[in-house]
Amino acid sequence: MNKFQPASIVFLLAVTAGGALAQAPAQPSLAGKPPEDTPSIGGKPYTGPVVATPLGLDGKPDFTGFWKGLRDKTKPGGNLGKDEPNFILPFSEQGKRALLHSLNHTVDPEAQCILGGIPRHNGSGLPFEVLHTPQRLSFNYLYNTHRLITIDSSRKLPAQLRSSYFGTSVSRWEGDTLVIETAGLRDSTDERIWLDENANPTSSATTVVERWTRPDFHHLRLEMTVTDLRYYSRPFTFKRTWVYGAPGEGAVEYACNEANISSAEIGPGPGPIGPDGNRGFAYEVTLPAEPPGPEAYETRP
Amino acid sequence: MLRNHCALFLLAALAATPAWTRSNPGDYELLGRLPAGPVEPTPRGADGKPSLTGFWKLLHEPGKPDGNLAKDVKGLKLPYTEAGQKALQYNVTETIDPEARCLISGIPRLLTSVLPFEILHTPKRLQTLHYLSWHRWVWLDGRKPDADPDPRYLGNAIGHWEGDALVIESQGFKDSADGKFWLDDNGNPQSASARVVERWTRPNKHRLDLVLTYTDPVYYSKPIVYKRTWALGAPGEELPEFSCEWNTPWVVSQLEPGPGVIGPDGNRGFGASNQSLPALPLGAVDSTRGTSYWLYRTNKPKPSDLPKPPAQALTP
Repeated sequence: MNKFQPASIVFLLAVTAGGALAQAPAQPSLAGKPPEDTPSIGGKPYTGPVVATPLGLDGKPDFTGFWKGLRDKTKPGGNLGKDEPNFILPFSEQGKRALLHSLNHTVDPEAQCILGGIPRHNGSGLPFEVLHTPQRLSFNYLYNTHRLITIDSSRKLPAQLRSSYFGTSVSRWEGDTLVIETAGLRDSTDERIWLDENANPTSSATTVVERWTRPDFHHLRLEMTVTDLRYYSRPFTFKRTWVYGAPGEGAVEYACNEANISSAEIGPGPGPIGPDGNRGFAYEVTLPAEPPGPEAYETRP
Repeated sequence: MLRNHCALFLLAALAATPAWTRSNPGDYELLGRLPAGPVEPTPRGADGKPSLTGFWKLLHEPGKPDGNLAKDVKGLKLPYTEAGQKALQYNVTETIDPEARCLISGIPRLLTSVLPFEILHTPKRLQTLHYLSWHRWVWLDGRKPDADPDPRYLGNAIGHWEGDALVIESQGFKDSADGKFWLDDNGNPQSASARVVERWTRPNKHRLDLVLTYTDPVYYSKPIVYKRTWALGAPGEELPEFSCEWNTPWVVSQLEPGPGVIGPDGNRGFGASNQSLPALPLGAVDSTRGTSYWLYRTNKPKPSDLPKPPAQALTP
């Protein structure tokens, strides 16, 4: 029984390309046709009156909502180097080798429906939904996966951490800013994890500090500092704003694993990355309306 | 061909966690117990309604199977229709456990699991979060059911309050006929016509009760009622990260279909009363991730096995 589902794969790739799609209107053929009730991916700037930040039972800002990324057209999506010169991160010598490994030897973990991890999800072009209770907060991603955070200023990171995709996090309030510190992440050189959509590497020494604010009802902001002195020569920051989704809109079920039994056939790396810093699968080429059959990928003479 | 026992492996991995890692989230006894001492009042949300938020561990009923929707049915036998019998046969003989492929385990299957789960509850939106990284959404904003809902593993869930009981009604499910969807761990079938009504109550801080009514006239001749109780996990206990990575071509081509032998106790070989640890080739597996390596038995070759060295290499 052939379970290969080309349409799903294309949609998967489309979603995986994330920001690249949302911001590159020249590639409508990539987007495929998501299910009718799948929310639109990109956010539109909010122009209405400013509405006050909703507060939770603890009097702190409530981040609950369905959040869509706002794009600066001059910056790439899915690239944690978007605020760096030429959109290129400050690699160390070891980091350059780790990048080559990611580009040439690892299949995009998201294309295999593996947890995308942190900080990658914060750079994604896809919307996400947050449910926020005073002690516990969930970030819910469109692959039907989630990341859970406990807000407790008395909690410290354990001395020994078991490595994972989302790492181990502690979280506390600093005024109206929710600070999340994460360590214990997997390493790109021996695990299926990327720093971002562009296959930049991340090491087991990586720590991520996220500062989340909701300045008003319609906006969610992040200032994130990634420190990985093994693969990068200095810490770097990443800033982003999301806009509240349409009323009544929320994340829906997405069965990522349905189509990935062909994942062994996917080539390594993110595909060509353009001078605009965007990952786009052969971004200059107009793709056919229907994906070609397997013969198109046959390389043997 | 191998029997698949992914949930068993999950249990085994949790139980086999080395002591030095116990400071990490996610290390705890699997089953719940209610605390001794005075009963604490039910926490309430901003709307004054009971808050179901918490990390919930099953109060296992001794002698009753888990992962089996027939738990409360006499003789542990579901009232199959003729079509239901055929669909069961199809699941047992043709379908690889969808969970072993990392497909989303649906509703009610997730609610029959022996594994702990978590609820986050806000006034208009609730989610139940489960092992293998799935979560299920429930709208509490007063919306009406979709007249033509998309078929989903988790259904389309809308909740409303009846006094202090949260009633969640779900419709629009996938169908076992597609070969990717089971009603419970035992491979019972579920049809696209199924309706699930969950009645959740939290009578005090530490206790969560569910009365679930499953109605599926295509595969079952009458509604099935299923009751369960969970206890609040201890402070600091929470749902850990778990990445389901055993969906590989190997799983799809090598696993034997069906749930395996189901004992007279209604268990599929890994109920809470039967958690013996198999001799697993744990290999590179840790307890936050399931890979296909877990699905190998010790008597089978594994991809990680090195080839035997040539004979001359053994002699000095």
